[in-house]
Amino acid sequence: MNSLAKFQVDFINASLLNNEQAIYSLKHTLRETPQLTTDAQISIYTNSINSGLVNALSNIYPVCEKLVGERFFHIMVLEYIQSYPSLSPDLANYGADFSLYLSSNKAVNSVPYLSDVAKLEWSYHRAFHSKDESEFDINTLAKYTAEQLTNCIFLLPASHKLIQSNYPVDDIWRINQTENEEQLILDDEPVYLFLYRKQHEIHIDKITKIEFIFLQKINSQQPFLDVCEQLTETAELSALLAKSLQSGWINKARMAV
Amino acid sequence: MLQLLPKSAGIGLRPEHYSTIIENKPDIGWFEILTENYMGEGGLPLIYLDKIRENYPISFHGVGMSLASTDPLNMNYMIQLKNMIQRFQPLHISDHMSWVSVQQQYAHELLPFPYYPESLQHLTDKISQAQDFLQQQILIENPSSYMLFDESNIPEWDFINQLIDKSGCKLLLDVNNIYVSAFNTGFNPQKYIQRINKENIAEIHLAGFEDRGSHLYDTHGAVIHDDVWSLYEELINLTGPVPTLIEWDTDIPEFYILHSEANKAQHIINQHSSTHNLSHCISS
Repeated sequence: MNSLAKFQVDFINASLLNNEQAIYSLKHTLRETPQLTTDAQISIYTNSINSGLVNALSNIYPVCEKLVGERFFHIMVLEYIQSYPSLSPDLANYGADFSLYLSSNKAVNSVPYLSDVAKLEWSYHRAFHSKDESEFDINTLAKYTAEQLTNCIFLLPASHKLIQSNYPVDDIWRINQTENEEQLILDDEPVYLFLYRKQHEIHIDKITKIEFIFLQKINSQQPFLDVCEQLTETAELSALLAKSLQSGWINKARMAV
Repeated sequence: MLQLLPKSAGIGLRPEHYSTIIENKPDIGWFEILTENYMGEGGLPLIYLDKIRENYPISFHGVGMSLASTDPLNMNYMIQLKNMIQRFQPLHISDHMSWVSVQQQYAHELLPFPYYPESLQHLTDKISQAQDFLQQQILIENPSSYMLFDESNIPEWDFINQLIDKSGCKLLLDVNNIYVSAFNTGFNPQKYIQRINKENIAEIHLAGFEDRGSHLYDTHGAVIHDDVWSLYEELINLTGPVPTLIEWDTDIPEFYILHSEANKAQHIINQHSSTHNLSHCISS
């Protein structure tokens, strides 16, 4: 490793991971100024890196931050940074594993829905930047014969995310969009959600368990006949298809080759 | 070759001002976008940018090339950038004389490095690779610095002059960064202005800093300091009109405040435009 590469690795390990050996090595490449010790010089960059990443995650996860408070959120993000480094030059890609990190963080056991709220917020964030898609004209399906329809592969919006949770994370998310104090009773009923972007608006639709399973199967991109065969226990498949088309949960169709 | 931005004042485009700009079409020479903010596959930011591009020249200013990093260029990023260039046709493409990543880990912060022959050669090679891939000349921006390196044996202005001679890129000179770095690391900002090769300057940035007692911090979150305006005027006096950007990234104010800062820069450009023309007439 040449000296520039070694310097950069030391810098990252010192500032991102607070590695003592790296801090020692880095300090020995620096010179004090009348106002700034070598420790102070390193601290300026460390604080700047950390606050940039904390701000980024605070923008993506505002409800999680509100639920645990700004100070505790800040501490969690600093811990997250240590285990989950950013691997993309685009800061909008950072934070995908925050829900995973929260699910294994014992310090938030008292907020058992936090990890699922994070999953919802990340899906919302990704949907905002997802590919633009034209609106699907469901009348185009009218010209298909019944046989052609069974041979159709239906597609969900590129922005979609199917979310299942044991907590009403959609209600938790909605209540925390305003400053209004609203009580929410957490029952034991699981919720099923379909999150997607239609034009420029992000929708979080509460769906039934049957709709959830149906849309999961549709998302496997098999001909509709195969989907039907796998859902033999599910009645009303044509009604499910019609609702999915009308709601915009399905936004494309193509013939299987 | 570089297509040139108008030699007038521009403003950094921020989402808070999309509607104002689209509805009122303010009299601004050009807008700069932060490249990474428009790298998503779709969504509203790209639609707003399409609309704004219809009426204004734009420049791309990125933080992701990580040119001084000892990692190779991130080709996924470069391909995305090239696609964006084809779609939006920016007149300038700039990034920083710094690094943001090593061993594929990104700090998302512009990080410093010592100035010596090895780093000069390394950065020259990376800039050349980036320009070859983009088939376009790029601009590099001088950093704001909070570190003083024992190993640095080339002053920043000489390092930049040599870097540009060797790589064929152009300079985006941030006057606020000169002022902040001069205070923090102890050099004379006037000397920097005198020694930097003025012919290489294709664009200028102006921004506000915060005085944190022991150091000045480049926040891009305040009006431009009087001393920075003076340094800018001194520079424009030497260069003549240069496209000049007002940068504001944190605590974003109402658009009229940015517009008013841009008008101040435009006034200085206009003043020196006429004196520059006059001195040209006299000398010829």
